[in-house]
Amino acid sequence: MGTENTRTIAVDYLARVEGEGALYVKVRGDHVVDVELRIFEPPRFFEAFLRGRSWLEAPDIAARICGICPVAYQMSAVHAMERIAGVEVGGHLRELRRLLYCGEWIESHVLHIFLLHAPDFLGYPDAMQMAADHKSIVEKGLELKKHGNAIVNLLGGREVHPINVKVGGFYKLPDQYSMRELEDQIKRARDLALDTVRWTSSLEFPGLEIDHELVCNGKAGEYPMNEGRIVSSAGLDIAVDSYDENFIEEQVEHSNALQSRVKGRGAYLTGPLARFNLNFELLHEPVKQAAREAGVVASRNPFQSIVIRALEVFYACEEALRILRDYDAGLPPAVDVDARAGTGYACTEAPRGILYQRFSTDAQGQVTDAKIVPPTSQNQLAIEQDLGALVPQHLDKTDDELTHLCEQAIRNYDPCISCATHFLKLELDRGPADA
Amino acid sequence: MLGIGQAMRGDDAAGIEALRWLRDRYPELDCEELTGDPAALLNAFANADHVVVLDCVAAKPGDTQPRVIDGLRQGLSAGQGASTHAFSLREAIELGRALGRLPERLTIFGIPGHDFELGASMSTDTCAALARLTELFPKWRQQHA
Repeated sequence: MGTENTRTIAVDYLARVEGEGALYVKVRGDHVVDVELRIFEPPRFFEAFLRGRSWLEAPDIAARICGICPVAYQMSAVHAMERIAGVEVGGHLRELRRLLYCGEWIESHVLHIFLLHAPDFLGYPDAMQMAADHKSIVEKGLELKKHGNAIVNLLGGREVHPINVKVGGFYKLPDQYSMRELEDQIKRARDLALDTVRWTSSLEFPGLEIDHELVCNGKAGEYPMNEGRIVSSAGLDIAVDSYDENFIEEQVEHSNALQSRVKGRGAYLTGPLARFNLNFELLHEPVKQAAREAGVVASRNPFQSIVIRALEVFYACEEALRILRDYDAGLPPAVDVDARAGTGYACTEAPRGILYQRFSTDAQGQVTDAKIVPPTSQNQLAIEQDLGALVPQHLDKTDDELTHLCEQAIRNYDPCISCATHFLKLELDRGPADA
Repeated sequence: MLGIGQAMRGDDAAGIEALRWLRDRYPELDCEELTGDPAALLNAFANADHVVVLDCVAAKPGDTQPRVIDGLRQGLSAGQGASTHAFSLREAIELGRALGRLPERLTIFGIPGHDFELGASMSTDTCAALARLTELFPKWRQQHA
């Protein structure tokens, strides 16, 4: 479409992204002069919605923000509330929360790998058409996801939006027999996960190396999932309650959502690529070995995030089995926690990156203030920078091919834009070369 | 009976609300609330001969008429669903078709929805549509179940 010197590509929806948003890329000659990821929905609606609610119901409300990563929203909220109460939940309850998180990582990563991102690599417009030719791959993904769902279902009370989690622990713990059955199921999932690592590593990856500052949880002595300090590849090492002093959210003209930056530095990347690169040594040995065989140790290519997600699924299975082996149904399901006035901070690793929450409550436990920074809004600038580097390398492609490549690059981040927006419309403006 | 939706996203709650109403009145029905997760949908499809789905469909203001759709023969358009995620009921049905995992009968009750804001209550139009559904369903059940 357009005149001889001007071409504009518009795609009504960027499919296979969990939610909706818009992207504008302006190209002049061989140069990308502007990349704007636009977000339309007022992202802070839920923060207002949480004010005035009981501190005990806030985690369940926060979990409703996303149907793909509700555990992350719930976990950040319960941790923040427990910090207000001055309670640290440790021992078996800490382990079981980690198990719940394993379930969510499997659910979310597998959905993305098999149904959202794989069609890009195999040359299909969507998973339905891919399934016609690659039935066994899709069946494998659905089975693996089912095993992840089983963890969340057993421990959380249902497969999505868990109802068994509360401030202080759980309402009820599963019986020993159910957990043994789950262990058998996750052994099967572990085999499927390793197959997935091998399969994803055989895909063809566009070349792209971006030296983003990588940010994740860390320094907790374990692969980051639901606790830790906030660390980065540029030397950042802060307690979670210093988040607001080190990160800034800014309103930009083209988006209603706030964009995050590291103060004094700018864009950063959070999610599997950051966790993997900064914490490789904390992975279980079989996972490290699989990574070596896959050839992705210390990868900075965002397109290889599909392999790293598969490795994290493999890790989540190994970790779930470790926790399940030591399970004792006779231990108490929760610790007592009392309301008090204060402010609590928490940051956990949602499948797509760090999820920061800050809550303030009064002495009766009523929420007086809430701040939620989802990972997708933190990755927006990194996505824009990836596209700014990628597009000039592929200007010889047709508009359709380039549009598809941009979509694939955005999906590298598995953006959960439903946390912050309505739809993603892609517009590629090549304009006249002399403009 | 599958109720699909998000209870805190305005009219997207309609499928869940409809299911809860039906579950109270017809305890013999096998009912399940879902968020639209494709794997859960496909599992539910695989475990029944006749699946009835209650879900919200995006509609024009003032539209309060529930639709009864044959999910196997009448295609859902891309704009007909109200899913907050790109992988919606329509995609789950098409994936089930590709994998041979569809039930013998799949009936969709589409409840018109208009406002899908996080935290919003259901709109008056969608509440009216739910009221019409409660009249429509017993008659449909007599004829088809």
